[in-house]
Order: sequence, then C-alpha cells, then structure tokens
Amino acid sequence: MSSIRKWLLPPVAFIAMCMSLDTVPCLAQDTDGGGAVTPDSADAIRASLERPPPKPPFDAVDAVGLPFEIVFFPLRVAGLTVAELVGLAVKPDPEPVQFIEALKDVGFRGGVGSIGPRSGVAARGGFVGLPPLFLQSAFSIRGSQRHRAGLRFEGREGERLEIAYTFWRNDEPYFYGGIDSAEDINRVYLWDQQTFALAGSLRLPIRPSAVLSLVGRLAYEDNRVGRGRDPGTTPIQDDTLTAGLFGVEERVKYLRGGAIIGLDLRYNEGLQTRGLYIEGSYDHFFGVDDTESDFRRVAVDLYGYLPINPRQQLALRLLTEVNRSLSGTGVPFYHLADLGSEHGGRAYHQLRFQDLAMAAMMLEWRWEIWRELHERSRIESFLFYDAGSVMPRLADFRIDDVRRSVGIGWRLITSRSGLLTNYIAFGDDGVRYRFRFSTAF
Amino acid sequence: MMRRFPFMRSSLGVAIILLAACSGPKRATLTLPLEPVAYADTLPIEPPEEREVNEIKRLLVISVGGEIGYGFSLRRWIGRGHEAVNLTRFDDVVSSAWFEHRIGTGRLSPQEAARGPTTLGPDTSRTLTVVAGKAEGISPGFTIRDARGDRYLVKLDPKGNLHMASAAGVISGRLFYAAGYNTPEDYIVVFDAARLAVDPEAEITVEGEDRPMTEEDLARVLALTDSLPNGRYLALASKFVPGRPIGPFFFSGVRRDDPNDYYHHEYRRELRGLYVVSSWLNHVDMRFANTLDAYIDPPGYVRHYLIDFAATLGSGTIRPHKPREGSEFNFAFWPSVGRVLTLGFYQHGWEGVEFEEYHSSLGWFPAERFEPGSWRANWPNAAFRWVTPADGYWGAKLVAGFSDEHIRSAIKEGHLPTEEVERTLARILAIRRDKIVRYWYGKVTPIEQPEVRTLEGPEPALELAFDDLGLKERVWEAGATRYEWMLKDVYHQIEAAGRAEAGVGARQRITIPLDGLDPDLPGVAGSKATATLRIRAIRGREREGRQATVLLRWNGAAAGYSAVGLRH
Repeated sequence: MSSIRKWLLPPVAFIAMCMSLDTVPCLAQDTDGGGAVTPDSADAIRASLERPPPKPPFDAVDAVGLPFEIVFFPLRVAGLTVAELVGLAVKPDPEPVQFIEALKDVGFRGGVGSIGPRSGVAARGGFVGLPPLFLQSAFSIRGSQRHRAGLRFEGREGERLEIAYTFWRNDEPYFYGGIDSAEDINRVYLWDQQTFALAGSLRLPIRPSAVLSLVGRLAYEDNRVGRGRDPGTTPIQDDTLTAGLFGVEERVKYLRGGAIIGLDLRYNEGLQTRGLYIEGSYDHFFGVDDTESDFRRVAVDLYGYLPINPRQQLALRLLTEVNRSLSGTGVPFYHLADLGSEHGGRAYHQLRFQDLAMAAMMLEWRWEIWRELHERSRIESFLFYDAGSVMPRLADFRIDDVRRSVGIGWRLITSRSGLLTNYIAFGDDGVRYRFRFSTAF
Repeated sequence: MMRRFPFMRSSLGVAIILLAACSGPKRATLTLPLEPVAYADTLPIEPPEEREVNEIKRLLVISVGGEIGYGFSLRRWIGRGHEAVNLTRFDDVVSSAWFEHRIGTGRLSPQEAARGPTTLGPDTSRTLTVVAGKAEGISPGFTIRDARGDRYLVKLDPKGNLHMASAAGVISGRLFYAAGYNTPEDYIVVFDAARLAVDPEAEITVEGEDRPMTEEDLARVLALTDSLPNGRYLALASKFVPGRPIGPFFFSGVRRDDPNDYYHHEYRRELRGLYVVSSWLNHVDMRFANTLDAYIDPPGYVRHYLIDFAATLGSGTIRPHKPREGSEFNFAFWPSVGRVLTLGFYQHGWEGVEFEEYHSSLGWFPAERFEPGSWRANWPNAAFRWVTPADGYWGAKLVAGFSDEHIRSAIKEGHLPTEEVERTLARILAIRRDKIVRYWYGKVTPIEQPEVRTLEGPEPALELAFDDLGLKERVWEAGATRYEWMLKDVYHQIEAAGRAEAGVGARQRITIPLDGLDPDLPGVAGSKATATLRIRAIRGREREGRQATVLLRWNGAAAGYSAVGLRH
C-alpha cells in the first residue's frame, strides 16, 4: 500500500498543483476546494520524492583532504572568531544596539582601552548629557581607575577652557637602574594622583591644512605611592634598591604650570596621514606644602609622514624629553622620562627604562594591504625600527646604550571607529606582542 | 512461507546469484543519476519567520572564515570541485522557485526581454504618497504609494551621475529576469516634486533612528540628486515583490524553516551559473543582502528573488564603479596576504589601471579589459567560489542567448540620456557577452541535443549527431575543429576510440564503428545506461576544454541506441 502511495502521490499532486499556478510550472494549489495540498501532506510528498542528494556525497577527495581540513581547522576557527568579533564590534546585534542607543539617549558615552601602563583592558564611560558638565570614569581588569569631572567650554574655532578634577590610580612597574636595568617586573607601586587643573587651548589656522595650537595649563597635583597589589610582584617599598627613591614614602604635591605649542601640517588623504607635526612642551613643577622639590620638563615630539605612493609610506617619529631638577630632592621617580612600548621602544614594556632624559626614534615602512571600497576603512601593515635610550642628561647619550626594537604589525584605520593596532616586536628583552586601540604615531 | 523459513529466502537468493553467474558473460549497466523534481520546491509549507542578518558580521565571516577554508581546500588545489547536484540528465535545471527557463528556450523575443516582469508601473499622473524615508546609507531614497495603492521603493541617482544607477538598475533587472531569475518590477519614473505628499504616518531613518518624516526631510533627500533640466526628478522605482518578505537567502546551506529548500545553495546550478550572468552585467554587489525570499501564500511556498541592481554595469550606486570592482573582493584575504609578504610591492592588475568614466550616466564599465574567468564580485560566496567549467558553460549559454537586439531592447528601458550612450552600453555588453562565450565554451566541449542512430550496412556503426555551440555561436570555425571520441559500452563490451573532422554548420555528425555489436541483445529499461561516449572538441592545436559525456542506452526492440544523458 505504501509503495502504491509512493508512486501515485507525486504525479497526482503535481497535476493538482499545476492547474492553477500563476507562474512557472510548479505550483501547488487546490483547484476545487477539496483535496488541497497542505503543509502536512506536502511533507509526505517530499518524503516520497526520488531526487539527487542535497549535496555531493563524501568521496575519495574528501577523504584525502580530511587531514588538511583537520590541520587547518584551528586557523579557520580563529578566522571565524575574529570575523565574528569584528563584525559585532562594527555592528552589534540588535538587542545590544538598542541598549547602547538607550544609554546614548541619556548622554552616556563609552569605550574600551587602556588607562595606564599595567592597567590591562579598561572599560570607560562618561556622561556628557548636561554640557558644560562632564563626568568620566574608567575601571580596568587589574583594578586601575581613572575618574574626571569638570566643566568644559568650547568655542566655535576650537578654543577650549576646561576646569577639571582628576583622580588616577594605577598599578605601575618600576625598573631600577636606568638604561642598564634588567627586565625584572617584580617591583610595582600603586600611584594615586589627584589633579585640579585649569587648562585653556587655542587653535590658530594658518592655512587650511596647517594649524598652530597653543595650550596653557595650571594645575595642582597631589601624588601618593602605595603598595602594588599584584601578589606575584615585589612592592617598591620592599626592595632595598628602590625603597629610598624620592616619592616612594613622601606625599608629593606640586603646583604645575606649563604650555604646549604644536604646529600641525598634517593632512589626511584617503585615510592616509601625510605631512608633518611638531609639538614642544614646557612644564614647571613647584613643590608646595612639605614638598622640597622644584623641577622642569621640556619635551619635543616630531612626526613626519612621507608618502611614496597612495599605498606605501615612510613614517618617522623623533621624541625627546628632559627633566631637570632645580632645587630640593630632585624629580620623583614616577615623573622621570621613560622609554618603552609606544614611547620609543615597542619591544619593551611601558616605562621599561626611566631616567631624567630620553631620546628615541621610531621609523615605519607602511604599506596598504586592504582598502574598503567606500573609503571608510583600510588596513595597512608596517615594518618598524625603534631606537632610543634614557640617560641623566642628553649630553650623556651613547650609541652603545641604545635599545632597539624591530617588528611587524598591522593597523586598521576607520573613519568612524578610530584605530586598531596589532604588532609583534623583537628586542633585547625578547618578543612582545601587542593589540591596541591606538597607535604610536 | 518465507517468513516462517528465512533460511529458504537466503538460499533462494544465493541460488539466483549462482544461476546468473553461470548463465553467460556479465552484461553490466550504468545507473543514471536521479533528476530533480520540478514542483518540489513550491509545495506548501508553514509560514517561515522573517530573518534579520547582521550583514557586516556575515560578510566578514564569509570573507575570512570562508576564504581560509577555500584557500586550504584540497579540492581547490587539485582543481576537483564538486559538480552541482540539482541537474537533469541533460545537464540542465528544472524550473523552480529559483529559476525559470526564459532566454534559454530561444523563444524569448527582444520585446519580452525588455518588458521583463513589469506590469503597469507607478501611476505618476496623480499624487504619490511618501510612506517612508531613508536619508542615509549607501543609497538614500523613500517609499511611495501610488493612486492604485501599489508600493514602490524609490532610489535616486547620485549627484553628478544622473541616470547612472537608475538605468543600471532597470536594464540589469530586465536582463537578469530574461536570463531566468526572479526579480522585482523596476521602473524609471519621472515625477514632479509637487506630486509628492508625505503621509502623516511616514517615518524616516536618520542616524539609525526612526522618527516622523517631514516635508523638509523629503526636500533633503531630493537634494541628494540632480533634477532634470525641466525641474522634474528621475528615479528608479522598484515595486515591492509579491508575498511576505522573509529576509535574504544565502549562497550556501539551506534555509532551515523552508522544507522545500532541499539542495544546498552552493551546489545549485542556477546560483553557480549566476556567477557568469553577474560577471556579464558587472553585478559586483551580488551578495546575500541583495537577495530576498518572499513567502507566496497561497499556495504557501518561498520564492527566491534577486533585488537591487543599482551596482551593476558601470554604476557603483553612489558613484561610478572603481577599477578594483570586478577584479578583487572588497576584502580579499589572499591578495592581502600577498601584499603583507611583499611589503606592498605586489600589485594586482587593476592597481595600475587609470580610472576612466565613459560617460556620467554610464560610469566605469570596461569591455576590453574584462576577463570572464577572473571576474570577482565584491564579496565572496560559496556558490561563485566553486563554479566548475560545466556551471560556467551553463551560465554562458544563458548569456549567449541574448542577441544584440535583446540587449538594445533592454537598454531602451533604462532611459539613458542619449542614443550615443545607449550604443556605447550595447557595444560593451556585446563585447563582454562574446568574451564570456569564448571563455566558458572553451572550458568544455559545448555540445547539445545529442541524438544517435544505428547505421545499417555490412559493418554496424553508430551515428552521433549534436549541436556544437562553439560553431553555432561562431566562436570557432568548422575547418579548425575536430573531435576525439571514445566509446565504452559495458553492455556489449565494446571499447573504441577515434577522431573525426567537423563538418559544415553547427549540427555535427560523427560515425562510430561498432565492432562486436550484438543486435539481438535485449534492451535495458528504467534509469539505466549501457554506454558512455566521450567527446572532446579540439580547436586548432588547442585541446582546451574538458570532454563531454553522452550516456547511451541500448534499445533491444529497435536494435539501436538512444541518448539518455549528457554531462559537460
């Protein structure tokens, strides 16, 4: 009986369907109100059909290729995972979007990134719903914190006046011994810094593509050092070499005044930065209350971008910083000039080398490996060579003391979401791999 | 009886086998493949849910995960991709919810090709009610309801490129429809802004948020395009497809909530052949987001549409196409790896090409530089990735079906600004068509309509007649064509091979001697074949394409063969 049904049902159903369909030969519809093909009865028809398999059967080539599939499976999973994550980052699924949109509606702005040398990934959020008032808070997975609150007034031409209170708690490493220090990360400290600052800035367009910017800053800062919390490391207070450093035990307070002048001759063409930027800064630190220390800091940072063609480019950054004690007990160790990571040495930890002065060069050969058709984002790869040193004075610079980094990386540049950088660096301390939401220059 | 004595049944089976083994030489047969069933994907189903897709995430998954899988696939390395599965015995597809034979029948007139799926079109003589707006995204526009109550999505040309996207959308829509695919009714409309009235319930999407639409919003959207010299506006109006939209279809896998969706999409011949039609029309935006499934109720099945053809021909929707488009994926994983490894010194061919806009209404649409085999859509998809020569040839047959007259008729529907522009576009499409035919016909032995008959005489012989489409389309000359053939009859146990020169005309005849034929052997019925006849066309000195296989069945009553299958 079932075999009769198997043979009769398809042609009967076909004839019934083909009589009243408005397109193509294949239409399923009841013709007279009785005997309609329903979804349930269609299941039986489908089950009775003899037709080719829905996909090719597993064959000898598949069998031979199976080991390849297994070997490359992790790579495929990794690729899929990255794609999923990037896809979700660029365009989250609807439910989170609605939640984020609701937060935006009440003036919340958030993001993810680092807030200090050993902070790890931090989530930050801020409230800008009642200008000029702003509030920002960030917490990292390692317990670092950064909070800001204040008033910000912005003019039409980019001028800005800001009065802000900042509290920053960060768990930082200290490598004793200047450029000769060993890579020994077991000395850490908790640095609490509170700052009350008044800052004003001006932007003076010289040409459409050139801007001179001036920033003036007056601040009161209060620094305290506590014990680092990482159980696998040695607090700075417990090490005989570092326990006596200026700033370890003392609560250090400064009245700080300074200025930054920047000349921006950069321009962006096709998501490729070109041109030149130079920035010089001067800060004077006056010890207040019980702080017997005055010092000053001068820093110069130069960025140059030389395009070879729209896809290839040579980029250079030169940076230097000099701190000079003017009176008293010197410069607190956490205010020393530093070399490491994106600050002159990508094969080294952040704050890896510290001293009164530093000088470094960062050189990159950049080349485009992908560009989105609508020019909204691109990926470039880069080979880099960093060289730098720290020393008591710039005059003490010795080529033998230079610490070098070489490496390769890639950078996603988008017109909306900013940057994503990924690189691997090789230096005297070994190999270092970094994934960051920013770039060295 | 048998149930009670199962050993008797097994003993009987053994006896039959032994008897068969002792009864004479083995007469082997070949099993013909099963064929798809024409009505199978239009059977009634329960209404599927509409699905929303995170487009960026899916595109990245396809581009990265899919390309890694493709790059390390053994099949790709050895060039042995799976063939499509939904094939008839003569290497074709059946009409379905995906595809209907139109140009391929040879009976579609140029006027029918130009008409496409269209019916009346929007009534622009009366008020057009704007019921929704879209002020952002790749292509701003709005939705209207005309006096007849029909709803259309109106898309505007980018500033500086009036006609470009709208003409491309309409022309390509007509050509895809004529090729056999389901497309919406697309029209060029010319209207007065004064005839537009914003519905009080209308909403517009701005910065990802919906809010009530105003007249100012409409004015802002209209300001994104150029008006005609007489102040009126020209746009593409795409009628909402019949049925309930339930989201896009993908080019791999099946839709789980559609029990009719049986063949995995990457193994569907229509979707693999779509690669060739897309390459012809430069539909670089052929991806899942430009497809739509609609639930047609009654009778209650899912019809699969291609939608939005604004990024075809020379149009990139919001700008002319760029030289890269059609040459490399938007995110090309392996070329990117190549650039990483060569410090940026590796350059794909398109990277040295100067951009040249043929006309503001045409954009960038290369003819001479077009390479059918290396054309790429902007995003990879599994169906296109695994196109075999047979799939490409099938698609090329569709493209070859379009005569110059068909092309000119479809172009007329685009309302391009001048006849010179129309002629230029027709010339480009004809050149690209001819390149496609030359390329894909050269990948196989393009024979069709095989017929066999047994020749009487002292020496039995078989005459195979077939159409050589390479000669029919004048891609090659008969004088420079010859055929290699090889017959293997497992039933008569005949094996023979030989060569034959091509004769005059497209219909060719090859005579094959049948030494050892036993005309008294009984025939074979059902889904069986008894012989394979492999034929390879040699054009000049080139053994270009792979051979075609004609499946033959011995008909005992007529003491002759019949052709029961064909594979390319």
